[in-house]
Amino acid sequence: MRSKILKYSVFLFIILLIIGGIYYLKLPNRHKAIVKTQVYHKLGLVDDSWNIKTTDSTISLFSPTLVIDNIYKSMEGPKAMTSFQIDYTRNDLVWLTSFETKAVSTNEIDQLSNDYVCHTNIDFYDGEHYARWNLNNRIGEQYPRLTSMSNGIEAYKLPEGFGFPVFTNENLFTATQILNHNIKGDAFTVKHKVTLGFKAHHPDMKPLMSKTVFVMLPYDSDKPFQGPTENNPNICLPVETKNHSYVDDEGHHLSGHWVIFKGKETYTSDITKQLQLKDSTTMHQIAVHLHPFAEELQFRDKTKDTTLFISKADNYQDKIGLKKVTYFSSEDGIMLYPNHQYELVLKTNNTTGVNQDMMASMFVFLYDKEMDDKIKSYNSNQ
Amino acid sequence: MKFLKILILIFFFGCNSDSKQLPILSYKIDDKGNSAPYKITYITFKNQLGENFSTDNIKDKVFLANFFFTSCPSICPPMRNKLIDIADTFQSEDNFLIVSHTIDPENDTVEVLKNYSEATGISIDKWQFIRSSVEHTRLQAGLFMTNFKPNEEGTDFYHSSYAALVDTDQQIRGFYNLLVDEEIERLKEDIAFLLKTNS
Repeated sequence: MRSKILKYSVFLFIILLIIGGIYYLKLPNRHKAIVKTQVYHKLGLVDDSWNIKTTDSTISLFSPTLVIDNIYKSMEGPKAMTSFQIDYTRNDLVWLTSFETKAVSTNEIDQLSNDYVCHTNIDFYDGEHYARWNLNNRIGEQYPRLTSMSNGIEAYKLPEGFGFPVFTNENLFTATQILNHNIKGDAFTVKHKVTLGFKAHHPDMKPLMSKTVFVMLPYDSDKPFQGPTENNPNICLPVETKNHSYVDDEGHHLSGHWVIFKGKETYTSDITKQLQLKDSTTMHQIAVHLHPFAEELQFRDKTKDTTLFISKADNYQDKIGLKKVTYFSSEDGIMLYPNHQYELVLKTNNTTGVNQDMMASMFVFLYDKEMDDKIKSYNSNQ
Repeated sequence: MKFLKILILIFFFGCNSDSKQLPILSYKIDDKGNSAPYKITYITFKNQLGENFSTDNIKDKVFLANFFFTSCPSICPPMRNKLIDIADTFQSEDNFLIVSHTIDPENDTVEVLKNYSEATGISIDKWQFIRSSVEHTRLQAGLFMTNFKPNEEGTDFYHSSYAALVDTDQQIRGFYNLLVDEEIERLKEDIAFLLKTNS
């Protein structure tokens, strides 16, 4: 009887193992990376904890160890995320002024190639952030992304005298993801070091608010993976329809992560609604997120038919990757108007023989007059 | 098993509680620029049995508060699963409570909330589902530093996936995104910390 139970148990275990194996093998690369990262971390095979170091002017977050065992295109690689506070024991107003991410070895000292940085996002909790200042109407208006650093644009500073105001015990959130377009062979390990620079409160500082704008392209929701056809050439082929998919007011399906085919292409996307401008204001900083084979991303005023900023992307010639992506930073800023229409224009050139994937976003920092008024009132009482 | 889980959490924080602190986050900056701390209070709410839910119900409790509606098609089902897990973990803790506020009182009647509550399998002394007028619920959301609003199509509401953790002095001590596994772990640690230290 016992041997029968044992036999059936082993049989059941093998069946489950085969089903699990088949299921795993059918997963896309991105989901396999999630499973593998969980296994590495839960089994204690690699360091699974965040190491956070704070000084008077910086907070550095060292990610858990992430294993690179494969080619990982944008948005596919192992990732890690955590919430954090600059200093939960204090309730001081400070100003975030700089952002940097880099790949480092597991000793957290030696710098590695930033080819292993896909992106690092910095988010805030809009409820806590805005409710403290009695700006409840802003909660839920837009995804609370403060900014993002990515391959080709791994570090930047806000213009002198400008910052994003946070309290030291306020919840912030970071998510960072591995990229590896080129290295095959034995697995190796990296960490990401994410550093935010901040300054103590000063009454002369001007607050910025962040808005994310990005290229969205229509796709056929009935046949999403058919891509453009002769009858319908103005649609894109989305990478997937779950993430980065949107439906506009007219019910059109749009994707923010799509496939680019061999050769040059230009994409245009209206961003007026994403900007949600209520008043005229000045734009002081633009950080950019692009994928390899992007050549430039323009921020345009459609109403005036002028180009306000062009971010140039410099691609490596001997491997896949972005060597440098330019960003905008200005104390004077550029005026934006609520009654104007704005758009992004993306130019790409897929120089390979195979399809590649593309995203194009700008993290735009605007002068925040309403917050400035609140902070002036706060100044007088501190 | 559940008892073991909480024992491990409390033991862990027994060893680390000397260094750990949680900030007090329930304050707002008033029109004159002053930091104005406040406490969480309740009036006009009723629970899934139609009984009054007042400040007395949270007295001396560590509690977790979130906003939801029973017909929510998007973030509520995964949030509900996480909250069931948390309720299970702290089942044996008499001083721990979950309070879920419906943002759709028109459709979420007492009976609907009762059925929803029963489907979770968690007892009412551990998880209360409460309702009031939209106006009062919005004011309560303000205390928890969040808000809600119908989306443009009118088929769904914007509401946050964050929950607020409140101590026995009715002060908010943390915010946690219920859709992120790492945040759930942090939340469990902080609940255990507050239950152990009450500080």
